[in-house]
Amino acid sequence: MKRFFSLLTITLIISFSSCGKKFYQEPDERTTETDVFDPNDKLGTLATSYLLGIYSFLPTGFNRIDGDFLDAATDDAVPSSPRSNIVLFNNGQLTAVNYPDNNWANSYTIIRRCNVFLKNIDVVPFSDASVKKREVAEVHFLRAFAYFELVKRYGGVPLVGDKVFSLDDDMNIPRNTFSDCVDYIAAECDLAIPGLTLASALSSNEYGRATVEAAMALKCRLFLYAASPLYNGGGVETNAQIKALTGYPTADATRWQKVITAAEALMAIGYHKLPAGTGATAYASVFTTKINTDVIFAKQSAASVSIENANAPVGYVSPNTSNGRNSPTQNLLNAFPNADGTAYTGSSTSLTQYTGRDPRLQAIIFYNGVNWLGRAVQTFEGGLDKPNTPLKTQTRTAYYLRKFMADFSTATNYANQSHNFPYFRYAEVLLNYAEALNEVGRTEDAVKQLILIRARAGITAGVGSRYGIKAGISQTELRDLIRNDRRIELCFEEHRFWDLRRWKLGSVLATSLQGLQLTPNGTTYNVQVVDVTQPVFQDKYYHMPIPYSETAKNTKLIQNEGYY
Amino acid sequence: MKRYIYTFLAMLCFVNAIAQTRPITGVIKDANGSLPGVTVIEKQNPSNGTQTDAEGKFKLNVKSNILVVRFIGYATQEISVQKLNSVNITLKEVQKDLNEVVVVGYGQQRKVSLTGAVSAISGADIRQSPSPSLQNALAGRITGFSSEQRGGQPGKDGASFNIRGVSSYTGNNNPLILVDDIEFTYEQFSQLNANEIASVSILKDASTTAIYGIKGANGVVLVTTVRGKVGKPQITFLSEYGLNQPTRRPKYLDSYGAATVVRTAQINSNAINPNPSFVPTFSEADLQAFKDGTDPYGHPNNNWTDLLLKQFAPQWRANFDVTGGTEKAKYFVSLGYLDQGGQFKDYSADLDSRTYYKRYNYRSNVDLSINKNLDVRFDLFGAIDETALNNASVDGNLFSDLSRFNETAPYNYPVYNPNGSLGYSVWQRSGTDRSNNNIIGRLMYDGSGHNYSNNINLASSVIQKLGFITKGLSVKGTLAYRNLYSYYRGLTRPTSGTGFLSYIYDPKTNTYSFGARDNFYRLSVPSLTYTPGSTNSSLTMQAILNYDRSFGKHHVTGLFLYNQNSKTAANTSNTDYNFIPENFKGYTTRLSYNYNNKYLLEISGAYNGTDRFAAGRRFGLFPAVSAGWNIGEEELFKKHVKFVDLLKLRGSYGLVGVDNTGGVYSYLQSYTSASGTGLFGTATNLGYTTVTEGTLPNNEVTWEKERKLDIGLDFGIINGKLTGALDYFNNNRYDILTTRGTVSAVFGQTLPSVNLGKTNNKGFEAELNFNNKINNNWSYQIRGTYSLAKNKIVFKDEPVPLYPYQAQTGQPIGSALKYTWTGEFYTAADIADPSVPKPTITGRPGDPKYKDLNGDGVIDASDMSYFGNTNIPTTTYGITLGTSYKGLSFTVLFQGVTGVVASAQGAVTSNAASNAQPIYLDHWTPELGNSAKYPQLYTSALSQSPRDYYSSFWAISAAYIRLKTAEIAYTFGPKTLQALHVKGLRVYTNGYNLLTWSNLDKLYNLDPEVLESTGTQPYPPTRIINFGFNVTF
Repeated sequence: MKRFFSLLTITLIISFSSCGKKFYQEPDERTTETDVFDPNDKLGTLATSYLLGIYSFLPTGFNRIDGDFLDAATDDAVPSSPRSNIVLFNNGQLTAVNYPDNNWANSYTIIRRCNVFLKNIDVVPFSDASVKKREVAEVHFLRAFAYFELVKRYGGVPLVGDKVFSLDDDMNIPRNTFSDCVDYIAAECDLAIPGLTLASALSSNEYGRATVEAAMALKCRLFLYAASPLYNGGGVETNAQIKALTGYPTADATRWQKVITAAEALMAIGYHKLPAGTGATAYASVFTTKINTDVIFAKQSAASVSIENANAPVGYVSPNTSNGRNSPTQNLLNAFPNADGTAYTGSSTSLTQYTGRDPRLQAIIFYNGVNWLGRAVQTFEGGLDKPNTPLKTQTRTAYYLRKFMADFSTATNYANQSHNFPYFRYAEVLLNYAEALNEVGRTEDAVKQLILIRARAGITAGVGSRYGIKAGISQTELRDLIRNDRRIELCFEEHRFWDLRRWKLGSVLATSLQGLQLTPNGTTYNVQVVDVTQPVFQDKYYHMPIPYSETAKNTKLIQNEGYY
Repeated sequence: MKRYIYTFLAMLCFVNAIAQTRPITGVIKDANGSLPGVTVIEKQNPSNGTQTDAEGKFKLNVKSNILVVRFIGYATQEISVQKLNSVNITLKEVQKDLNEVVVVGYGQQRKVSLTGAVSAISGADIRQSPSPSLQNALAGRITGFSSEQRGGQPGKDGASFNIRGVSSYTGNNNPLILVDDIEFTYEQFSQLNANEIASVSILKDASTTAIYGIKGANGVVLVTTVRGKVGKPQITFLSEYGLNQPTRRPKYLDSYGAATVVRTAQINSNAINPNPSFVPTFSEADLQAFKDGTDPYGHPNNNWTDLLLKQFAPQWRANFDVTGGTEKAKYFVSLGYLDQGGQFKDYSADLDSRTYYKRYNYRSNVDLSINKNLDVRFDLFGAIDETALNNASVDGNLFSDLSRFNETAPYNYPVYNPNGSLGYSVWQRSGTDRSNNNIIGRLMYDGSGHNYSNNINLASSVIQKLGFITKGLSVKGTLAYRNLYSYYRGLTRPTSGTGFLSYIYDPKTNTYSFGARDNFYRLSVPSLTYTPGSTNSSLTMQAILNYDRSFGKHHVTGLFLYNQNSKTAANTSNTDYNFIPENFKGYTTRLSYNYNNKYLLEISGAYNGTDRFAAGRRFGLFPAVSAGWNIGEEELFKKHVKFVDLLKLRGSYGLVGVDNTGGVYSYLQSYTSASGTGLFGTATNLGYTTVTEGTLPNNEVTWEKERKLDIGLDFGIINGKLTGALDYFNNNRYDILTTRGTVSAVFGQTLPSVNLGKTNNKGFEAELNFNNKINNNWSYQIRGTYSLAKNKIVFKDEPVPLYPYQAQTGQPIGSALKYTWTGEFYTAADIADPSVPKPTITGRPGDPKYKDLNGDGVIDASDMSYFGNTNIPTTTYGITLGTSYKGLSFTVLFQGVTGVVASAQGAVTSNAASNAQPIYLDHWTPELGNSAKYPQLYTSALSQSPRDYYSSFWAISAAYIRLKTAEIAYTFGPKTLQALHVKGLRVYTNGYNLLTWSNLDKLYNLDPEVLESTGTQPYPPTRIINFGFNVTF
């Protein structure tokens, strides 16, 4: 009996010995919401890190869609690999389930993060109130930026305000109208501007954070789009409700004035201007110099050779691996004026067509015979850069994209370069300004802006220093000229795709895209223009399809016209 | 005390015993020891009877002199007790199977009184399979167990397995594994030495698994190990030598064939998009040179399969056991050694590049009987192993390199140049994705990586019989500790250019130039890769109160268990959770009542929980009830249906949970910080720390649950010659952790998983055994098993898909979205006809034609649907045939599966990426048309691609039948043994995966158990032919 009790005691001790200690233990070292928005942290260290984290969700621009620039879905370029998903934009197969540029979730991720920040930031007792003011302003800007990404694709989208959704919230939220969204984005920019830093006051180690000018440039572009033919009462929708979701139902020419006001506000600050210097080198250096007065706001990335690796001609191999992802078209090449600013009227098959042209051509396009890494680029049939070997991706037009690269024409190897994708540039503001001025009838004021762009490009001043713009140019003529200059100056910066849409130039999106075929013939070449692809355009492609997965989940979400 | 209670209970039970009767006491035994629950009745007065207690004792007051002793599975005896007050009776078995005890959770039950669904296999049967991983021996032998052996790399050839199929589409479907009631990991399970196994039980239904509460829903595998027996020390030595080879040896076309395929593909591709300056890589002259072999350096012809692979890899196994003991102390001590060789030839130059697996097993099971009431068990066991794999492969598996055109085209380069240096070629150098150096050189200089693990287990328990409180009561305390430490060390050189030297030889000029890399003159210094290793440990404590007692015809058992377990391990996916103990505790109870072995009732349940969920969501109650009716024991039945020995109907229903669902700590939200990812300023590499909001927390997350229904029938007829069991089950899994699919992305954040998914899994199992003895020398057995498990997703909160055929709801778990092949190929006329639906990538003549399900005239992702079988078979069956004549015995097991599709989605089957297989010669041509076996050859796969355009063209039935194991053994008779001065000697030869019949391997030379999503040729499972002897001293 005694033995039994002693044994029972032992057994119980063995079995229950650990009951005294805490039954559960948690990973206490993890970072929680109260660590990030810490009521004791006067510096707001992690809150600032949280804000900086939002920047990393901003879209990248270079080779963004399946290795291609969005511009490879326009008349400026074709993807070198016909298997790239970018072809969905112009082969007539873009659908709500097959849409490679669906930014929906990413933008709403930015919006939620901004809202989380705004909801919690008041608990952080910043000792320096200006820091908090600036960070709140940046968040308003980032939220506006994210909404604009959505609006340019889809038209009006659900505006969620400052709401931070929890699991129990009803997520069936209807779309707001285009007009509401434009007003909201503009209001967010206006909220941000007083708190943001001026570009001139931005310290060099904070370069890349939003500035007053960035918010103004966003507003300027927003108003430009809103005043453009597609959105300004020119919607192609037959259903009035959808038309109001994707644009202003009625036209109003006074909307152009807002563009002028926004552009002038930015110019009045005086920091941003076209950097000194002219010609191809000056133009190219805008993209490889991290800080310059042209770039207003850009996606920051570490110096690398990624652009060279992705886009330089395919004949250069390891360690200078080059994949030639994009093939600029002959159509783009034909758009470059002569060096004196007059339109090029020569032959597309001329071997000398590359000389005597707008100097930017040298900074934007690789063509046969131009020097690169110590040898001539060979895009003739069977050349190193167009070897025609099976399975190998190579140019389809005899051209490769050179823009954004540093000059490696005589170097032996690539070296790391600054490659920040510019979201806003001063040159764009000038072109926006010129476009709006022309639309409101101030043609000669518009010419002045265009001359600034052309002068930096290295076009010769010519008679009366009009840089090839004829005297007494009409509004219509100048409109075409501005559009052409915009095409060249801003190519491969994701403008043409949206510009052609807001101008309602579906016909341009449906033009046959051409390249050259250079067949060696002794010391020269037989040149032939070849049709590379025949894009398909339908009116529904003026707006992008809301992802099917979203319309399936949110029953109140109305799909854009023409898509299911 | 003991006496008083005993007397008191005896008085209660036998209160109507009268004075003129006399008491008879006795003990009833069989060959193995005392028998509880045996019915003893007075012949002349059949209403007067009793049953033996847990120790086989009975006491009966009788008036007459003849007792009838009856027990199921034994010959009924009539015993005369004239002039006797006590008797010792030994019963003789007539039907071995029925008396088998089956190991169930925390105890044993006789098959007769079992109400749950359990299938079991003995250690002896397992040992017929020479496969080093324990689970590979189980397929086809028992019902409810299905497995897929996805690979055969030494040390990693254990099959993945399930009990009654799969039920969860997000969580883990792995069953709980318990060895001697201590939880084991999968890794440990496959490391178990078959020689140490006494039996393996598979617990399948609610009544047997509910006692494990939140851990039992995927079924339970129970392993019991061999324990010592009373007797003189018996020393057994076993040695086996085996030959290992892949079930399917890779087979590719020679240089001529492969070059022809490449040339044809290039010509065909060019025909689609003609290029005026097109020149095929191989000219007619090249083809001729490949054909006649006149230019071995310029036009090499390598059979890489033969160059890289051995015909047979050796496998050696040895075992040394000592067993014996006295009533006071029994022991079983075992040492095991396994050495499994890899399939690759040994080219090691200065670094060891062999692939192998070595394992040392040890076990010491000791049972001590301290006194009449106190038993102590002390087990120490473990395994030390080393898994070595060469570093020659670019992606960790040389079979994959062997299958890839870019690595090992038969004409890629001469292995050696005339001067003995390693060869290389301009062809290899100039191609994209072909930068890796000479593959034989890689086997010479690139070394190997070694994974070491050391697994130590201690398990001890104390059993105190509490007969002095009340009869049949005992208490058991168990303490077990498991420790697994592993680390990795490897020496390697780069596989691409800079590792070692190779040269390109030009036979025309008899000159040498740099091989894979220019300006490189020496062998590089090997680099060390290692992981410092981590310890994975588990501490288990259990206290069990057991009660087992008969009162006349009433038999009652009770079990009450407290158990607690704490595990610590590294967390590779989230280091925040590294080494946080995972705590589990709970209470379990099981009560059973059995009336005269006729009516059986059992109630069991567990209340347990784990700290991986939020407070308040940790503990759950999991009850189960089961009942059985031994129809065969009914008097009426016994009288009229004499040939039936056993007929039992049983059923169970209950609730079981499973906690390894991946919802760990999902009630906590973490903000993730990343340093240096916020890039600002001018500095090139200076970044800022960023913090982002993590997945939202869900406080409600808890385990998955399953309602299990099982109805079964056990039978035995013709004196136990034919026995069998039938089972029907219907399991409804619910609360499966699912990320809600219907929440709009406007939400802006990753959603936590919510317990909302539902699946149904039902099936049928049948087992049939026929044992017959023709005479004393000759007997034979036939055993068949059949298991069917069909599941479907009932609810998973998916948004309404655009096309109903793209809904996963209603489909089996693991179904892959694929195109439907029409059975035809595109003809040139189809391509020209715009009304024929074609893939978005322009279709080509000879590409498989797919069904345009949505009728939009285009073949795109909208035409993919879920249909057909998945990669997990619905049906597993096995037939075991065995016979023995005197000392000679012969056993074969055929195992097969149906209801399964397989394909390697990646490079293995795709012409543009894989080495040319013989089937490529049956490619489409306009003449062959739809009778072609392979699409037209092109340089790029496009819409033929097995990965990008996965379709029913590639996914074909992987049903197979295998000669899984076969054994011929001879046990020597006493004469020979005397001459050899040994106690026992057995010689045998057995085999594993000996023969396979399947459609899949015929077409693509793949093992039918291949994983559907496999990208490249996996290390195939192996066939083992094994010879061994077993000698006892």
